[in-house]
Parts: sequence; C-alpha cells; structure tokens
Amino acid sequence: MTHLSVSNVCKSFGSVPVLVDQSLDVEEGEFVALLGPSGCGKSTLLQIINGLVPADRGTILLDGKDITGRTGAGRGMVFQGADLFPWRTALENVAFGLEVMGVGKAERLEQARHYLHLVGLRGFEEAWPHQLSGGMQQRVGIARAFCIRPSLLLMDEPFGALDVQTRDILQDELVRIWEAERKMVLFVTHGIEEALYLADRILVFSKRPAHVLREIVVPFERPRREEMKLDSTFLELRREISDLLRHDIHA
Amino acid sequence: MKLRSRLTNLLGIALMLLLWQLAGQNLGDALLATPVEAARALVATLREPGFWAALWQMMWQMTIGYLLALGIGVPLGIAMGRVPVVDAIVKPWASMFIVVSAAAVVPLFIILMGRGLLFSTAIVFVVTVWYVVVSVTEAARAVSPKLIDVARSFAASDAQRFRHVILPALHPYVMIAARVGFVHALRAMVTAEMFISAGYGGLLNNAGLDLSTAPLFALIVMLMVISLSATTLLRWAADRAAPWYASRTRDR
Amino acid sequence: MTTFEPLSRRDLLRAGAGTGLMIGMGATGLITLGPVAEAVAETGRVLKVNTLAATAAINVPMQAALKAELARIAGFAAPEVRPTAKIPQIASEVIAGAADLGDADVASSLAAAEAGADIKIIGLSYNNTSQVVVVNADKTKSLEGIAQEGGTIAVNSIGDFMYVMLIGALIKRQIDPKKVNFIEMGSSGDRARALMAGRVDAVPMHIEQAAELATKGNYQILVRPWEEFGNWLSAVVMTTGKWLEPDANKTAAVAVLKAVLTSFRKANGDYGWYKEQVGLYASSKSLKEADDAFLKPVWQTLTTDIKAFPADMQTMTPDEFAKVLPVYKEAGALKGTLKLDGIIDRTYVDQAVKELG
Repeated sequence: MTHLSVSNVCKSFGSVPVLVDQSLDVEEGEFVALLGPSGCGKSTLLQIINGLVPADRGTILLDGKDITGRTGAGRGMVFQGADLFPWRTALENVAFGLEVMGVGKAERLEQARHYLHLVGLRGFEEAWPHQLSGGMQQRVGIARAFCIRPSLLLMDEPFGALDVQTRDILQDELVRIWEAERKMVLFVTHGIEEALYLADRILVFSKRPAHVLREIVVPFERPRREEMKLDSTFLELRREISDLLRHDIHA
Repeated sequence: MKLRSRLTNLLGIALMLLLWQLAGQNLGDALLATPVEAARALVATLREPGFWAALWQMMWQMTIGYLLALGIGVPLGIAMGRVPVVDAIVKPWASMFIVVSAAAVVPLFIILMGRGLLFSTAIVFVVTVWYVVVSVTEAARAVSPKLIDVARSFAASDAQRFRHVILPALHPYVMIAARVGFVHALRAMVTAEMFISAGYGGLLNNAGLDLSTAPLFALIVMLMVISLSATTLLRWAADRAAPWYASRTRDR
Repeated sequence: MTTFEPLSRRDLLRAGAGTGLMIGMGATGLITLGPVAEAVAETGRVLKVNTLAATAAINVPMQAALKAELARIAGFAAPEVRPTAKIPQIASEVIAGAADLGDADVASSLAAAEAGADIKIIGLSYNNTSQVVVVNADKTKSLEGIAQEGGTIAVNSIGDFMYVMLIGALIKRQIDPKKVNFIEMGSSGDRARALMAGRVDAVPMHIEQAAELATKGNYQILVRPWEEFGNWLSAVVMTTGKWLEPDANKTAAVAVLKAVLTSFRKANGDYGWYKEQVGLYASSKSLKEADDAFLKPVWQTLTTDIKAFPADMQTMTPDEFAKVLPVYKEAGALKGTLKLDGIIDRTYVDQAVKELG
C-alpha cells in the first residue's frame, strides 16, 4: 500500500513566509492537482517533496519512510520546460535515471525504449533534444520520469509552456499512460480546466503564504473524455474555483 | 544555398586578391608585394630545408606549452567556476595575467630562463593558460542550474552530476577555448621567437630585412594557413566528439 | 565516478576524462622527439654569447668567429650564440648573469656602466660602423633641410649609437636637434620601406642596404659617421668584472678574442673567404645571394674606408673611446662621468694578439 504523507511543512525565503504548516496526504493511485495562482508556493511545496529544496520544518513520509530533504527514492519529477540534457539522445535522456541508479547499459536502454514508445516517440530514439518540438520534448520528460518506475510522480506545470492544442493532446496522453500504470501523482498547475480534467482531487491554494482554500473531489468517472469539458457540472465547478481564486486575490 | 554561399566566399577572396594585386603593382614590391610575387616567394620558401626545420621547431615547442595550458587551464577553470574558494584565490591572478602580452614578459623570461625549450614553453603557457582559465570559468559558472537540479532530482551524486552534467555541458566551451587558445599560443610563440630570432620568428626577422616584402608575406601566409588548418582540425575533432553540439549549430 | 561499466570512446571524449592522460602522453612524446640534447656530443666549454639578431655585412666576421673559429681552439666547443632583437637586452642579460659575453653596442654598455653596472669592454665586435644615413635625394638635400621642415628620422632605438651619432652631426652643424623628430623603428628593412613610402625623411642603414636601395630610386647617403667623427666605435665585446675573476673565464675571454681576431684577419686579406662567410651567416637573403658586382665594393668599403676589421683591434683603447664620449654627453645619452680606464680593458686582446703572433 503506497501512501504519501506531508505534515506541517514550513518554508520561508528570507523573511518572506512561503509555506506555513502545510500538510497533505495522497492515497495509492490517486491523482492530485495543486491549483493556485502563479508564485503562491505550490511549486515550492512540490520541490520540497522532491527533496530539491529543504524545508524549514516538517516531515515527508513516502510509504512510511521519512524522505525529508532527500532526492530520488521512489519519486519521478517532470519539469516545466522538460529540461532535457542536450548532449543525450532522446533514448539516453529517458535512461538517465536508471544510469544514475547503476543499471547496466543494455537493461536501461531496453527499459527506456519501452517508455519512449509508450509516449509515442517510436523512431525518435536517436534524435537530439533540439531536433524535437516542445511537445515531443515534454513526452521525453514524462518518459524519463516514468522510466525509474516511481511510486510518486511529481509534475511541475509540465504543460505550462506548450500551445493549447499540444497541451490538450498531451493531457490525454498523460491520462492514458497513467491509467496503464497507476501511481500517485502530484500535479502543479494554474489551469482550472486542466486540474478538473486530470485530477481525482484538487487542492486549491491561496496566494502567498499558500494555504489550502478548498479541497475538491472531482466527481467524474474515468476514463475521461474530451466531451466532459462541456458537462454542466464541469462548467459549474470551473466557475466556482475561478470565483474562489479571484476572491482570494482581491481579498 | 550552401554552394551559393561558397561562391560568394570565393568571389570575395578573388576580389580582395585583385585589389591587392593592383595596389601592389602601384606601390612596388618593397612596400607591398603583389599576391603573385608572394605566391612565387612562398614556393621558393617551401623549397628551403631551413624553413621546414624552423616550422617544426616552432610547432613542437609551441605544442608543449599549449597542451600544458589546456591540461592545467581546463581543470583550474572548472574548479574556479564551481568552487567559490578556488575562484577567490585564483581570480585576482587570472585577471592580472590575462592582460599581459607576450611582448611584455619576453625580456624578463629570457633573463630568468634563457632561450631554450623552457623559455618558449613558458611564454606560450602563460599567455594561453589564463585565457583558457577565464573562458572555462565563465562556462563552468554558466552550467544550467536547472539541468543540475534534474540530475539531483534523480538522486545523482556529486560525482555523477560532474560526470553527467557539468563535463558534457562544458565540452563545447572547452573546445572553443582550445581553438582560440591555439591562436593565442601561436601568436605568443612567434613573438617569443622574434625576440630571440630563432625558428620561425627568426625567419620573419630575416625576411623583414629584405627590401622586397614578398618573402615576408609568404611567411605570414604560411602562418595563416597553419592557424586556419589547426582550428579547422580542432573544430572537426570537436564535432566528432560532440555530435549533439555539431548538429545543433549546423541546424541553426 | 561510481560506475566503471564499459565506456565507449565517445563517452570518454565527451567526459573529457581522457584529456589529461592524452595531454601527458602528447607532451612526453614531443619532448623526446624534439632536439633537446643537441650539443651533448661536442666536447669543450660552451659559452653563452648574446649577439644582435640581424647579421649585416659588417657583423659577418664576428659571427664566423663565434660559430666556426672558436670551436677550433682547444677546450672550447661552438658557443651558444643567442640572437637578440632588442639591442639593450644584450647587455642587460650579461649584467644579469644570464649570458657570459655580449656582442653589445657602445651606447647601452657605457650607459649601464654609468648607472653603476660592473661592465668591462674587452674587445670589438667590429671597428667603426657600417651604418650610414640615407635620404631620398629628390626631396632631401641636407640635415639642415630636414630640421627646417620639422622632418622625421627613424632610428632603431632612441639612445642607440646611431641616434647619438645623428644628434652629434646635427649639433656639429649648429642645428637644434629638437627641430628633428626621432621615431623608433626596429628593423632596418622597415626603415628602408618607411623611407621609400615617404613616411620619414632619413634613416640609418648598413652600406650594403644603401647600395641595394640606390637601385630603387634616387636614394643617397647623406651622412657617413666616419667622415663626421673619424672612428665611430659602435659594437663591442663586453662582460662584467665579476665574470672575469675566475681564471677559466679569463682564458675563455682570450679564446673568444683570438677567434674574432682570426676572423678579422681572414676577412681583411681574403675576399673569397669573406664572401663564403656572408653566404653562411648573413641574415638577409639578398645579401646571402649577392654577386661579386654587389658584394666586392661592399667588402672594399668595409675593409678600407671603414677599417671594420683591424688585425690587432688597435683602435680599442680608452683614448679612442674618449673621442666619442663628448658626443654622447652632448646628446644627453651619458653624463660623462665615466672613468674609461677602468672599463676598457685591453688585457685580453693583447694576450690574444700575443698568442696569435
């Protein structure tokens, strides 16, 4: 039984408090979106969970193990701009995590090929990152995170830099891959529609210092379909969240 | 497209040679030998055994100083770019010595080291190494912190981050430093040799005594050829070693 | 690095891990390939002698003495002849102890002595000078003309023996030297070109260069130093008093002077020998390849008018030097406080002459 438990995390940058006593729990196979205005601190929370940024206080337990302040160990991160290594081919980028873990070359390339095909990039194994479009680069970024078979997937506004069409396609792809290989996901976004479309549960964050304004359990069945975005409940929820955020900003 | 730009290049060169020829014919060979005269002098120069001996002497002595400058400059530059303490210690020296030209230190070095291998190697080294250090430092400092974060998030150790992120990120800049460093090294070597009138610098000195400028131009053209071939060779080696970079710069 | 799985060659290059190794191997290889230990096989003492970088017609016997004659004397191998582009550097290296002997110019040697250096002048590299001042006769008729026009004269370096000679020549004609601009131009080839281009009005150059330049236009000799000042001493064999203390070095000094005197005597008496030496040691290609029609008049001027190679260096006396000293003083190159008796030391020349017979 996998489980993520974040308790009482505090973080300030200098004298500016960014996170005050944040706690959250993610159950096995649950897709949780962290939704909030830009710069509210939700990305910082994600980086603390990832171990890239140290917390001032608080603990993070993954499957019962204390992983506070450590990277790796069951977590895979997808970065906003894909951030691929330009000197590695698409395949070598996907294999990076396994290489760091010391997996042999044949084995890790085999695994990487599997995930590269899974994200729809068959035939692009030997391509250099600069030869790929932004959407294709982010597919490689997703495959790179999946390749280490993490129990928790961390995604930091992964589609934020993409155009609308590409973003829609990649959302569907992500859902498809995730449904095939269910794991806990923490998905940071400022897109209300994106959060509603992808997540089981949405934590709506306030402006800085971030706290949860509301927790919304998304009532839609899986597998999700594009038509759902026209559903009246969907539109109602979207308006509600939008009002909530606007109200918070002007408060 | 490629062919057209080649043709434009050739046309430019032809035009320049024509202008040179006309100017040379007007001024006479004592002031400006024509390209035809220079080419003739070049053929004569290449036939002299003394020329090849001088060229060889210059190249092997320069190469030692150059390789030492790279061998020490690159690691030192990386250390300065990544470790603030090293930077704090070395930076003042680097910014002081980088402005020193070969001509300024040659007389002192002659007195300290004589005129042998040690002297020429040392001159080439001190003129080249600081250039290499400073450019590699800049590159090492500019290694994308995002990519280092990516490696960290995959739990890469310090050594793994160095091996998998910093070194490959530096590769193109090291190759550029090697290329420009070569030009610095060659120039320093020629300056040093002209002071002690040895090797190729000695040939340049002697050619300067002749009334005709043709032999002098022939030697200068040879220097250009050497510099150009070496940098082309280094570029080729860099492209072979870093196909990703070659492909990226070619696509641009 | 934690993993040592098979690295491909590309990996190695990319990682730069092999760079250090390659550099080390490359450098070692080059050192062993290069002509490092050239002079090991020879026997006898190898002296370090600094000389001028450019060998003109007048420098040839001195070069022949160093490169061929000295090794014929028992106990001596061919010296390490060290050409030096900047004239003052020749004496300063000897003073610093980086060289045994210098084929230096009078100006920088005497200036160093006046500044307190322990200089000894023990011989002549040649007597007098072969440099003359050349002008474009279509434009320039006299030094007075240059001064009136505020003209420019290019010299090798301000303060050297030709600069001093020119100042002396100006003063002798009651011309204010301040009316002439002096600029530095290292190579006599460059000076000749500057004159041809009309950038300067007069330049000093060697007589053979003047002869060659005369074929390019109406370039004529305006000043001959020996006509102005008799014997214009310019280049000497010098070292320091400290270096001369050990007996071994005294012997070495005599040996070098014997070699130089032998060369002088051959150059005076044997045009064929002289021509051969020019072919071997002259710097300029055109001088090396000069035919008799060109070279013989040059040799005649050197041996008769200039008396460049005196058989016993008989002009190397404090009295001879004393004649040129006032000019240096007037030109501001020396204060004139020197005691020449302590600096000009004929001991070794006299010994060399005695041994040669």
